[in-house]
Amino acid sequence: MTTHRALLVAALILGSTLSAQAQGLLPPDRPIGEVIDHYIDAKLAQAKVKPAPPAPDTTVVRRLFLDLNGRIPAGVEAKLAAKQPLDNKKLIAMLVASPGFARHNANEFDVMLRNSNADAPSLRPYLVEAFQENRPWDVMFRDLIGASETPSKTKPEAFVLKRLKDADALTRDVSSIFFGLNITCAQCHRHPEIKDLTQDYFFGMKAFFTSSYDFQGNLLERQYVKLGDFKDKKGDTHKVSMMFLSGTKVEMDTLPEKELFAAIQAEAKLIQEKTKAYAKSKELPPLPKFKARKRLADIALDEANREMFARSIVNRLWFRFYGHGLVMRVDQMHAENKASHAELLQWLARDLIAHKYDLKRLIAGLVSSRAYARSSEWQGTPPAKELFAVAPTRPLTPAQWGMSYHIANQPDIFKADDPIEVRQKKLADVEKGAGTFAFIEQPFDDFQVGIDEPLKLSNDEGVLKAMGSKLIPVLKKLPDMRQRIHEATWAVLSRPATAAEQTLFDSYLEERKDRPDEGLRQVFWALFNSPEFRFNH
Amino acid sequence: MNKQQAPTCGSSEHDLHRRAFLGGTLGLVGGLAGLDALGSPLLAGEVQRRHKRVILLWMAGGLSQFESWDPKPGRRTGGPFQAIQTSVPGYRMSELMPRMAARIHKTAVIRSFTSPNTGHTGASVFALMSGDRRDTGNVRTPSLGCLLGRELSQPNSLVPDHVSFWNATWPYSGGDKQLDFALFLGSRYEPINIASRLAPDGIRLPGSLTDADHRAREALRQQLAARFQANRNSDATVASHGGSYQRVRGMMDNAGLFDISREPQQVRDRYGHSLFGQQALVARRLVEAGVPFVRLTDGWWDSHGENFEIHASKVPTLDQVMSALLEDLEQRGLIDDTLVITFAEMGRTPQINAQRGRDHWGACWSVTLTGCGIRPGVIHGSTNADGTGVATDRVTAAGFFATIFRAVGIDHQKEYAAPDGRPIRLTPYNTEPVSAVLA
Repeated sequence: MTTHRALLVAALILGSTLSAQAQGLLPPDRPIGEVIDHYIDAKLAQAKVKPAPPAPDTTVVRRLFLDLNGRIPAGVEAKLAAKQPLDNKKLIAMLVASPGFARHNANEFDVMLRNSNADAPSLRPYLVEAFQENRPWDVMFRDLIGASETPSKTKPEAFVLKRLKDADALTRDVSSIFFGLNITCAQCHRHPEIKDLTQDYFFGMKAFFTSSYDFQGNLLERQYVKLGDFKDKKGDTHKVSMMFLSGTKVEMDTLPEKELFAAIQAEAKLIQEKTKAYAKSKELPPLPKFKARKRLADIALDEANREMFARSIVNRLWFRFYGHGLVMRVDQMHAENKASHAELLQWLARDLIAHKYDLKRLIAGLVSSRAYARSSEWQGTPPAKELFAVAPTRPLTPAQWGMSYHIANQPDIFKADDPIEVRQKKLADVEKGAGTFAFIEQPFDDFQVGIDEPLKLSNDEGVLKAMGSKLIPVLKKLPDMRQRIHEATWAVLSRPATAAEQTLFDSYLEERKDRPDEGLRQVFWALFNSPEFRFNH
Repeated sequence: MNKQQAPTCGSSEHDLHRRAFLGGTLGLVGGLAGLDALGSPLLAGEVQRRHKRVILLWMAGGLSQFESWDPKPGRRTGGPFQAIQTSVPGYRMSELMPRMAARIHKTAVIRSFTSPNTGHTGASVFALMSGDRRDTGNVRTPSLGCLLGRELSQPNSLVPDHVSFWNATWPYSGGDKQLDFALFLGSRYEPINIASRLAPDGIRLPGSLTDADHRAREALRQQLAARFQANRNSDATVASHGGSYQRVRGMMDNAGLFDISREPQQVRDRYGHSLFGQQALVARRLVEAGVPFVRLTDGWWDSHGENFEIHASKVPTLDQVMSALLEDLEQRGLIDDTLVITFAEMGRTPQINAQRGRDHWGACWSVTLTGCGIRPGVIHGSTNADGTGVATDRVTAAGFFATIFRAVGIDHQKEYAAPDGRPIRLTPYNTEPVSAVLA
């Protein structure tokens, strides 16, 4: 492939970003939230759609807690926030500074990095550490594919190591997660929508991992490998060479066939010997001069290609907070699949690169727009999702549900004047005791709540006994029923009870005044099992 | 005993199910959001398959074809068991299955099944996802059970659409959830998994609540939810939450279906008292009440060592349970509308290894189909003398799945749309059913 052709293909796959630099994007120094609203509003005006009004402050507070710290606010936190008009910038700053931010993002990224691959390991310890120190995304990428110069104790390279037994899945996962392009179809044939995405791309990406192997739990690379061939649908044979998704090829110094074969044999023998001696010697086989995974990272992050890397994480995070990607699906980011707001995506990617892949800055920016803080209610059929006219209603993850359940169940855990360290310690204690709730499923695209969940929550004696067990004694200390209802609603739904709800609960409890504890328990159950608790809305 | 005199416990509950089963419009409809998006499965021309049901006997780990449907006595690969004459002239089965041998003229046996890979998860996932779906790339497709549950479900049904029994715990990481996903079909078609017992968890009234309070509590929840849902229910996920809660009482009302103490002792004895047998009896009660798909997983056949001891102990149970189930379905007039399948991840090797075991084998093994839409007494395909290769009429996983769909009246080339809009046919393009075994 000539350089010219390589560039052309790069432009096709990347979505013509190379030429777009010249277009008039908003200046780089504008706050992220403003830029989002600028582009979203423009499209809404064009479509003549009036967006949903802002969500009530209590809803936005709950949304921000769930999105930034992975839990609902404790009753006392929610009430405190409601004392004055919401200053969301201040709240966002507080939440991203909290250790809950690292914990929650570790959970979210752990799921994202698994990419539904059953072989994929949990990388949570590494991710917690990385988010605690706000490690840049490009550095994390190098860590995860084992291309980092400084090894980490938390073994992020397990991302590759545990996937080595299925190199096709590894190739798919790396391309999908980091570059937003699932190239699986190109394993067997040309991509049906991107003519130029031939099988060379799949095998080219896979080739970066061919020399990788597992030596006693260490991710190493061989010096000598034969990259081999693949057959196309017509049965013609093609030679494999390393090639990044943009079309950038890597030529390896290689030996003539015969010598290469001998070198491979010799290296295999050496590895075998080192394996036998390892228990005593703890010695690793020598590392090759040419490191394919490091080369992949260098190419992916160089000036010509890095926008692809940046756009993918921007789109994935956008999907997380806005319930719908700027490009859908998040692993089909190619030129034929246009972004709903191409300039916004481009601006955000440029901003991320300019700020050294700072995820904390990006996340805080994404949740600071007016678009993010809209109501999730819409009368009648809502407008197309890609207009972002109405906030999404997103099911809680098992981790969010578990933490929120425990926080709600213990409304007295935080005092209004707790210093931040005390609050953090209490949170850590809650998390330790959080346990797992296997019946809450990890949501995926088009997720639906199955029957197992309500059966368990409705009828399991253990669950019913625990639910409200800590809340009821606290509520019973309050002098009257109205106050109890008030507190319970703040604790679970992070807002005051409406007058209608007060009346509803009043009469429910009145009918059960011969068994007030049971009555309260049932009210509490109804709150917990309401969709308002189950969803981030 | 004929079908008009089928024994029941005398409870009015049966009338209720029968009415639902006959297509009545009783009761509530839950979790239909995903379904509506795809159009009702009960279009006018498809009415004939209304009451069709499927029971899948899943021989988890891989039943040996040599010790069951395709014995090779006297050959180096044959093992110690003899073959016996069956009710189909010229067809011989393992001596471990005398009851099925006596009634095999009512079943179709495929001895030339071929599957490309032989892992416990990979192979069964591929197979259950409808036969080697390399054609869909890595777009996940719903499992066979979820597809059949949806295709054969009835509107307003009060019974579940997909029940999955396990008499052993799936030993692999990720668990059984890996095998059965409804995905875009909607939560209504997800399996209710029942492992190592006869009834699902959580279908009985908890002791801490009166029935009245249980109902009132749910009514309170619904009132509370109504305001939230009012302007959000067009979201399928939000709708599924409410829908699933609405189905809780329906599931509880069905608790009796899972109670085999309501069956006459004679019937229970016929199935035997193994967990597999008891679960099979529950399965019959379920299909009788209109449940469209029930899977019975019998574990654990993975005989890498002591193959012959394992099969000597397990095959007679399979023989008893399968023959009892088929006989029972027949006597109740259900067999013409119920397809019973035996299937697994793989067969077992002709070679007998050093541990007297047989390992995983995909090249040629046996599966069976009985009942609805199946031509009885067909012995389709054959293997060579040592059972090391297909001799005649190779059957692929895709072809087998197409046959299953066709047997219960579903167009095997019916197209669904994956969430990204990609068309997904029930079976890969150009797949043909095995017409020789279809009625």
